Amino acid sequence: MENNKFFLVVEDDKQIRSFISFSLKTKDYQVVEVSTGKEALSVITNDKPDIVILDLGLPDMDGLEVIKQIRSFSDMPIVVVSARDQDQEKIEALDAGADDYLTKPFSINELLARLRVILRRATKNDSFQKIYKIGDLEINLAKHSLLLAGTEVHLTKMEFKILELFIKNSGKVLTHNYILKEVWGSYLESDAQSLRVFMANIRRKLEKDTTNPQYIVTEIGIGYRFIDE
Amino acid sequence: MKNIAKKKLANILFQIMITLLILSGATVLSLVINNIGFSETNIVVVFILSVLIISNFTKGYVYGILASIIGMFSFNFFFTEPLHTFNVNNKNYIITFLVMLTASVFTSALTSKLIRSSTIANNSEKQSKMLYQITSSLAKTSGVSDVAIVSIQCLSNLLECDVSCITINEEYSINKEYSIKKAERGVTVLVLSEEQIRTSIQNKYTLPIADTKNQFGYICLPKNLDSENSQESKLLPSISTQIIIAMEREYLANEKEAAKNEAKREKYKSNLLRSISHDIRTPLAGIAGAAEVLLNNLRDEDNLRLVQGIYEDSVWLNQMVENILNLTKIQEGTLLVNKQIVAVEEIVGAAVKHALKFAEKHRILVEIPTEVVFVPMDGKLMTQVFINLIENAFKYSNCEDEIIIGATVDYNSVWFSVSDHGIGIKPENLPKVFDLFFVAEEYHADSRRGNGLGLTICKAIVNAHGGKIFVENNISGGATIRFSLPLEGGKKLGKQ
Repeated sequence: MENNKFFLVVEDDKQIRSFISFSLKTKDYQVVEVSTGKEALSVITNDKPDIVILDLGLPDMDGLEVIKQIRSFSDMPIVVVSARDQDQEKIEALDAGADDYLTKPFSINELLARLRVILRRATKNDSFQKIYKIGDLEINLAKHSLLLAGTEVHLTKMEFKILELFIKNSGKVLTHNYILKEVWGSYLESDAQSLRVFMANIRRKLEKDTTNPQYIVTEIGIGYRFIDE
Repeated sequence: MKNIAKKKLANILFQIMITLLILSGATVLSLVINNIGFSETNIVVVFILSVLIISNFTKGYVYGILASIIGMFSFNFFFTEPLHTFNVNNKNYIITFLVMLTASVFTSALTSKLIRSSTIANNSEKQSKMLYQITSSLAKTSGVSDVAIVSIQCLSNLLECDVSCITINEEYSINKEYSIKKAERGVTVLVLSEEQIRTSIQNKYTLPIADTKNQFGYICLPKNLDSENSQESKLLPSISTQIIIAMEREYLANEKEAAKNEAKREKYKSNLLRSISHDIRTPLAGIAGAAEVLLNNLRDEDNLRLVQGIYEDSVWLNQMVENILNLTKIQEGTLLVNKQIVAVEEIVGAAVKHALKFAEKHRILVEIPTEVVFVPMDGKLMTQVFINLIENAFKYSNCEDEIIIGATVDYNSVWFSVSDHGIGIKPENLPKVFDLFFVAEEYHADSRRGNGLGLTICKAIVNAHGGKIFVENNISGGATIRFSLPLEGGKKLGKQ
């Protein structure tokens, strides 16, 4: 099976740690559990796991610091788990390079689904891919064209740039700041407002129901996520 | 009143006696001088001296002038030819008489005036001393009762009469009367009802102790006070001002102290709630997670049902804990509204998605404008509002019935609504639904009883955004919660 993936679970609460690793083991993944940031870093440098599930509230060091240290030598996927009132830390974690986040208490099925998306992206990561087919969408990056159920949809240059960023990072939560930096090269508040307008326009062009989006989901207060399943 | 007239009369008689006595003395002395053979000039001087002495020992001009005239006539009678008559042989004496009279009148007038001004000076010195004493003793007081006791002691010392001070405490409705009797030193304290206050201030000369806002109490004095101690009672307005200032100070200090205690209590309460909620949250996440894992892996029907129960309860408990945490933040005032421009469709979409996660059988219909509407709001808090409202609607309706979420743009605000086709709200309960811990007795059989926090939190969040929230029963059954959010520029952005 392709499930010979190796997971590292970094979580100081024993119960949460054990049900996460139990679920992963039932899916035939390999799991290593640790409860501190230092242990996590040593496992990562020595054993090179495929994915890290990281609790932000660790007893020995700031979860954000762990992410920064991992990112200094590896771009392995990191999924952050945090308490509800750590919103700012969550955004910082995503900006520091975390791939996704979940808020406690989270559904284990939700976690498994997110991990699946990340794993799939990791396996078929091909930066030279030019044509993407997702649901009813067909995007040709070389020709700058978008087909929705076979009919051509016109996107402005900026809208296409944003869509391209999403497609290349599908499944991943992109914070407002990240999108601004990648597309506008700025952090200006006025640009953040135009981003919201662009997103509303793109949503109108792609989605059947704007309140129940199929492709681009809003993460309130954080950013957006492109779903490719 | 008769007493006072008598006193006055006695006083006048006494002064007349003094006048006559001194004049007689002067006449006798003059007779002696005359017999020895000294000149008449000395006699004139003796009479002028007597007038001076009389003026000094009597009150006012009258006695001095009277003495001058009598002195002049007795000089005429006893010492000028023809003796023992009021006639005069030598015309020179007329000049002497006139000069003597004028000199005496002047002397008496001057002396009286001098005495009067020194009396006034003495009095005002005494008054300012008194006032200073009262002010400084009031400054040293602490506590309302202390102020009352010091006030009545000072007033009783000053006015030599019965004094009482009634203090009013509206908050605890404990009214006290502090009184002091003229002859005694001790202070008696009584607790009075409002009725007793009214009878107590009847037939008294009362000074209200009040500032522009509050009535602190009264100072009660005997009714006939004014006429008796006229000098001292002139001080009353300034004294009562000092008492009011002292009382005001005490009341403000009390209020401040009470507010401080209240804040402290609130803080303890919410700290306790918060730390409990925090500590509950982590194990709950563990229970919910473990139950979910079991749900995924168990095959036995009975066990599955039990685990399903554990899972649902832990999810419900967890929402409750979140609500409590939010509520403590709202009550502490630490709930910060971080307003950003958010599209209505995003917020509604996120809330619907979240609400349906735990209620897959229910259906939600969203009716919002097709064009994008941007509203300044704290996205996370407003999502919480929608989730609470939707879950509430689920709780009171069948799962076949649709929940309808609506949004319409008004002139300068957006109106949202969440309606259900459930059992509605009893008319008498309509004003209470936003109250803390209010739970309707009737709810749908399959759902769990509410905790009375959800709508309170919604109201607090909407109000913190500057919006309003209402509830009404639908004509066709069920209830609708409507709330507004102000637009302020959000709309402008939407039209770019």
